[in-house]
Amino acid sequence: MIALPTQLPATVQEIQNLSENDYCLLFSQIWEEEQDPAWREARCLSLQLPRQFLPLREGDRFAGEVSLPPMRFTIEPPGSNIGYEVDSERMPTELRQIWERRITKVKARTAFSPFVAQTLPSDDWQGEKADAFPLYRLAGITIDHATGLSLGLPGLIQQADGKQGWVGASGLVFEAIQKIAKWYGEGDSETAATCRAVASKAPSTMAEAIQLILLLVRATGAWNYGRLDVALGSFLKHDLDQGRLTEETAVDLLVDFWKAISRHDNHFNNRVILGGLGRSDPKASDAFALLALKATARFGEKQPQVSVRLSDVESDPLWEPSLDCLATGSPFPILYNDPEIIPAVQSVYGVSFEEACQWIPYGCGEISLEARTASSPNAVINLAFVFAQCLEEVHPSSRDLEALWRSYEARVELLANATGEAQSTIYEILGKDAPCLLASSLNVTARERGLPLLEGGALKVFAVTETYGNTNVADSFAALEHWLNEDSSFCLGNWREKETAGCPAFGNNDDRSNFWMSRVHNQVCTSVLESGKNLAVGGHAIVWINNNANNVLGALTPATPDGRKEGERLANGNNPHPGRDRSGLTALLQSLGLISGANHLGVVQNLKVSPDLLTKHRAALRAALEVYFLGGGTQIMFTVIDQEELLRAMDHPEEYPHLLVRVGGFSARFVELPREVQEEIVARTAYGQ
Amino acid sequence: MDNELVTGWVFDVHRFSLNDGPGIRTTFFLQGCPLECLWCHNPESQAYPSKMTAHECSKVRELPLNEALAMALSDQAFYRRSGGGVTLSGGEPTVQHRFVSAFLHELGDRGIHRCLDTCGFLARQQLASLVPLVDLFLFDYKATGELHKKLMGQEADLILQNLNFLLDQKAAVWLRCPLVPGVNDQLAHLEKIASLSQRVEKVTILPYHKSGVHKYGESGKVYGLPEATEPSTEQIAVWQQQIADFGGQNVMMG
Repeated sequence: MIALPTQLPATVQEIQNLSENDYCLLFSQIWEEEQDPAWREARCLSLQLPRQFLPLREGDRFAGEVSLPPMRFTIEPPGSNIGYEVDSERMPTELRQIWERRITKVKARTAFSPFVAQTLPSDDWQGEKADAFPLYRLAGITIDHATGLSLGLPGLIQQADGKQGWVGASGLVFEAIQKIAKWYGEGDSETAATCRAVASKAPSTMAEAIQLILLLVRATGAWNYGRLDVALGSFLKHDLDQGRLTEETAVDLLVDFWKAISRHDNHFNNRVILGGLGRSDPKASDAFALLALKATARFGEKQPQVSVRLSDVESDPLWEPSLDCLATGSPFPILYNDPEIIPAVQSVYGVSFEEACQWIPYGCGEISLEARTASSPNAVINLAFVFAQCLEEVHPSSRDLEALWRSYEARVELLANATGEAQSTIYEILGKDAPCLLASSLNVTARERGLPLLEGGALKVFAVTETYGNTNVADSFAALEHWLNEDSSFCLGNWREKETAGCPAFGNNDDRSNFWMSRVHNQVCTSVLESGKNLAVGGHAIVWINNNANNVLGALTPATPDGRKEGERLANGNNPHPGRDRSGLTALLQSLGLISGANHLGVVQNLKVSPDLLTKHRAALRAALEVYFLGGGTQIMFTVIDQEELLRAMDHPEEYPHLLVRVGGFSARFVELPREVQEEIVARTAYGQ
Repeated sequence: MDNELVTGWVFDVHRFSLNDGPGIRTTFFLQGCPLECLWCHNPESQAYPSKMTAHECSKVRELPLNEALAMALSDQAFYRRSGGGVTLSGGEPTVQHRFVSAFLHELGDRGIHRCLDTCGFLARQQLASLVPLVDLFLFDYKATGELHKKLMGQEADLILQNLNFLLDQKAAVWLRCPLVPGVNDQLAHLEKIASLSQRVEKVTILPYHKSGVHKYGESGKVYGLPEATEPSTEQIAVWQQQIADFGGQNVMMG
């Protein structure tokens, strides 16, 4: 018999004071009592949200730090999880068995068709050797700031008042958030005063607007902040006009905001978007963006991931301020090319130009439409693993590269179908389990349509599959082709005996590696898009992004003919395998630009540059990037090479062949310099830049 | 000779080169040099293509003109956007006169900006033939008076005459002057640099650096300036002031 707490707690403080066991017992009790999915979610969140927000820390300008309780409903908890889920280590033993059947992820896995279950047998993408895996989450949700900020918490509550179904239920959740704001409002601090204001009315200052955004994003369980220049531009202008803020104190405030954002860090999210087409007041937004970039430079941390959409590659006013920020050594902003991306987004999502203008990158670089889509990357295909398996099955004496291509292509098509279907099922099960009240209430089209996000509310629900190892597959095909051409006795089974020296490799802008990269990329994009036509959801597209999965998956992948050893990492995003680009920056940029915006939902490019390029040689760097963007490049992110980077280059020269340094009256490849000169340059760089 | 059959001996190619003329450039480093500067940081580039040792042969590539051109053309969009182009450097590029003129012709036909990085030690007639093919000369001037022969192995006279010739021809010239403390930084030389600066578009001072020294061991050659030291920041500032006092104009520190 499970003992329940005798009295249900009414205040935030009482909920905070509950023991972990009592909290779980209560959560479980509510779950059992309430059968209606919308009211079950609302009541569970009314307990969970007051529990998950943490008390203010000394010196915090903004409230909103969270720590998830062991039993919860959330859209994107750490790891691969979704909906109702538990941390079984932290919950009462007697509840563990009961809850196994209630976990949304388990329900989704159980609901897979035999085809999906057989093709994607494992969820353990970090530990099992396989070519594809499903993931379970609702990543990339952003909220409709315009609605939140114009209505405020009282307005959001009022709009739900007396309504039926999920809209009515969402009122209960907004009331819980209001209680939390009031709880934070107890006390004399400036932060407390801001929170009291947020609890009682729609925000009228930038500080209040920031505070409300933090509470709503964190309560929703989202990780990305969307177009803050649009959301906050008018508040900034108003505060400056009223003399409430100066530019300097506004930057201070944004640094505090960035601090609050970065406190909640899973390494891959916390995107802040600035610039681009489709903003209601571009002038006010640009003014905000300029200060946001200054705050980013001053904050100097790896979060938030500030990203700039350049609406015009030649004359965007955010170009130079972006380069100013990068010149401080910050890896931000990440730069995006609107004119290339918007038509591609129109085509892939099948939306209008105006709708496509609301595109934003989230997380590691996936493209969503702000507060409109559900397009979580819920599957992984390891193309290098697919290729290695196909090569293993080839007859050792075969010289038929096209036959190898066909078997690779067939397997990718099969995985495209399986991953698409799996994601469709995951969305369906989550949609049945809960309306995702906050993600739905704060979604532009779901509000308009009066439908929950996953039940017709979202403008588009998309299956999105992450691909890895693309470069290694392209380089492997190019290497095999090279050996077949130069050696008439070479058979595909003999590839392990060959040296890769002299083989074409992606990143050098040569015909053969370019050909294979285009072929590999287009094939997976097209297969996946095709598979989307048969799904219940709106479509299926790939992303080719940058996180540490290239390392994790690489460790489980056999050796490949491109020279990658067994267990070695895979190339990262649309980039050469480390060290294989040996033809200079212009060749690299032309190779990267091969991958246009078409047919996918996000591809990322890394570029390591020396600080010199952002200072002394900025005009040349900007010219090179303009050529890249005008030639079809979509995105670029920088590492401005610092002391540590140079030290690593000394220890691992093979990874830095393209690093040019200015020695005296001439330039040299850093790794070709003798040790003592390297040491000298390391010392000079640290002080000089 | 048909341009398709012309080849050049090239010991390196730098793409996205930013210090050999304006904008983004592709710099071709050609083998062979008539001077033997004691501080040369590319000693393996000195031997003429016909007299290379096995060590040098392993580093140098015979590049057909059409391949060199294809390499240069592939970055054309970058040159156009940045005001850049192609630089022929060395060694001393004019040692391979036929390749150089053919290459410059082809580049000119395609509207690509051309720099020639030269030590200035070449026959007048040869230089004259290059004037219409070059948009900007990067011209080295390394020592004044007697010292020139001691440090470079040849007199300065021809070099200065050639420089005057280029300026008389209204050619665009950037002067490049390596300075080694205690070796070629005499006041007379700084004064000469200052006076020349009034006639060229720009002067770049290249403070001495020891980075090439290790190559001597590899190539079996003996380094001619074992005692030379790199200038301090203060020393560089002193040079800058001295040149300015002599009336130097548009003098940059490289």
